[in-house]
Amino acid sequence: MKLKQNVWVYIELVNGELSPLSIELLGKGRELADSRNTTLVGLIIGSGAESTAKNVIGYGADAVIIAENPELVSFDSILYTKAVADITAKYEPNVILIGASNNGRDLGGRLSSALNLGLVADCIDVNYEGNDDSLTWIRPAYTGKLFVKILTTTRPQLGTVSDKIFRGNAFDTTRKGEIIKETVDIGDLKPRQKVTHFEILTAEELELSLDTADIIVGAGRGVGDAAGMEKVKAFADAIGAGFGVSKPLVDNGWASHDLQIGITGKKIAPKIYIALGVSGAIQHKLGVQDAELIIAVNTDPDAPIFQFAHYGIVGDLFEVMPVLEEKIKNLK
Amino acid sequence: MNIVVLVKQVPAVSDIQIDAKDNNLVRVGAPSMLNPVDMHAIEAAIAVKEAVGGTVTILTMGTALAGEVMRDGIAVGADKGVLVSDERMAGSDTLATGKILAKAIEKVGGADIIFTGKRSTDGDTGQIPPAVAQYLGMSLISYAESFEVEGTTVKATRKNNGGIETVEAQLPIVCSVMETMNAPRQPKIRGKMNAKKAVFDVLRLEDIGLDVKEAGKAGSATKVTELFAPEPHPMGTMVQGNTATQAAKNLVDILVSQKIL
Repeated sequence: MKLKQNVWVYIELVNGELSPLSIELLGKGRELADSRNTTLVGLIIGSGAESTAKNVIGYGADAVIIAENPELVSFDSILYTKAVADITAKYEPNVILIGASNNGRDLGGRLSSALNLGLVADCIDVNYEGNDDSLTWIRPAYTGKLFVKILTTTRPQLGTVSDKIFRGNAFDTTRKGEIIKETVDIGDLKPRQKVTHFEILTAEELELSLDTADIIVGAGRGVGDAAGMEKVKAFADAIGAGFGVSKPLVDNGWASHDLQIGITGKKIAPKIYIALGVSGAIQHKLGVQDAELIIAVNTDPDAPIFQFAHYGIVGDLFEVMPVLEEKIKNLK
Repeated sequence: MNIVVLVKQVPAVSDIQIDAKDNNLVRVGAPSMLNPVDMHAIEAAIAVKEAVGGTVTILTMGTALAGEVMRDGIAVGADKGVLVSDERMAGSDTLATGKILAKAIEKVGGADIIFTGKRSTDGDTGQIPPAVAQYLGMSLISYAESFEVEGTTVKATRKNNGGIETVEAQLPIVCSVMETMNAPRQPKIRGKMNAKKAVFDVLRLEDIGLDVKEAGKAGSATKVTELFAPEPHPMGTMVQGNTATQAAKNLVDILVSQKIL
């Protein structure tokens, strides 16, 4: 099997299983490899690598490389960077896709420095556009008002990719692939940090009803001030909805980044998204476009959000909220 | 304890104007400010200094005027500010910027702890903390929500994989800070006066010992080829009503009739 100049996905394991983002990247990676008649390789490091290798193939890889070293059991960005760098030097892939999780971003940034490679962060798309081996990466820019297309001038081409952008392939139990074990020499490096405690948080504790709530209410600049934002939050609580905000409110310091809805915050996919006073910049739009139904209230009839909302009301959100609250409560 | 805080000057408006003709950023007249989350990184540094002693150096890279944002840090107790500024650094991507900042930190005597904000509001890549950590061979705790140092060990928490991790790491360390870590203090009169009269050292490429080929566009490995606006979605249904209240009532009726509610 041709193992050079192909497409690689760095596989992130969470509790010994493939992360959902890794499966999404295998789907995209398969497409990229097919478009260049090359192979897709998954690189796995850490506890669970052996048991998940077959799954990586089932989700689309032609081959899996497992980095082996007893020090690599759990994620340590220094050691994992060394492992990926060494294996990369041996196989010379054309591209390495890394999920833009917290650990993935750490690995990507270190790898870029370690190998003197260009890196494009938080991409929302990547394709071979021309006839050469150059990938065109796309990421939001200027607070998401625009996209930029970016090329990296170094090889392998390195990028981190946002979650919930690509679809993974259906798991295919019949797929066959090669499993290669590579012993990694980490030299004098020692693990310098370890996770000593991990506590799974409930939706409420994570304030991630954003992940799970059927209805999510989003507050934008139209709330006017922090007190206005609190009124919207109270409305969300009253109708049993999750609550989030657009990026400007976080930039203003009114809300924490955890609550930011958008491509650089939290992407949401509720049944109903109610955007109150949100103008609908592209960075926000990309974070909410998976919502089944979008309702927007804004005093500005030209607000971009009306172009992708299913239902829009031009008017004062503070007049709309009491009506919605009363009616929705009655329905329940 | 040598503590360095990396900060950045960003446009003061999040609603950046784009020139429709050439898709370029309209920078003329755009006011600047300290990247908001950087104030939390500065607070984290001052807190460590108060707990175990040391000096806090604010460091930034940018144009000749970019250093002004460091006064916010001096005002709350940072000891000094260092501006890395050289026209040959213009156009640096994260690869070049990481290298420049790492070299500058070495030049000012290295660091036991480097704090940064989690991201900048403009570039928004979050890639500088791992880049700097790699160049300087330091541990890294990104997106930290708490931070304690005892001896040479750091204990911090961060959200990851749907939970909260407690991480223990050895100094020296780079830590990127979330807004949730702390509440930045307000400057006192004396601090404001210190900030006003503070003079910042300026470092150029020669001072940090970096080859011109490794800075700016020459030292960057990414190239922006196109800037484009997204295609608009098809227009949705506008719910009418003489008043917003009436429109809201009509909306609920529609949602009920469509069995959405």
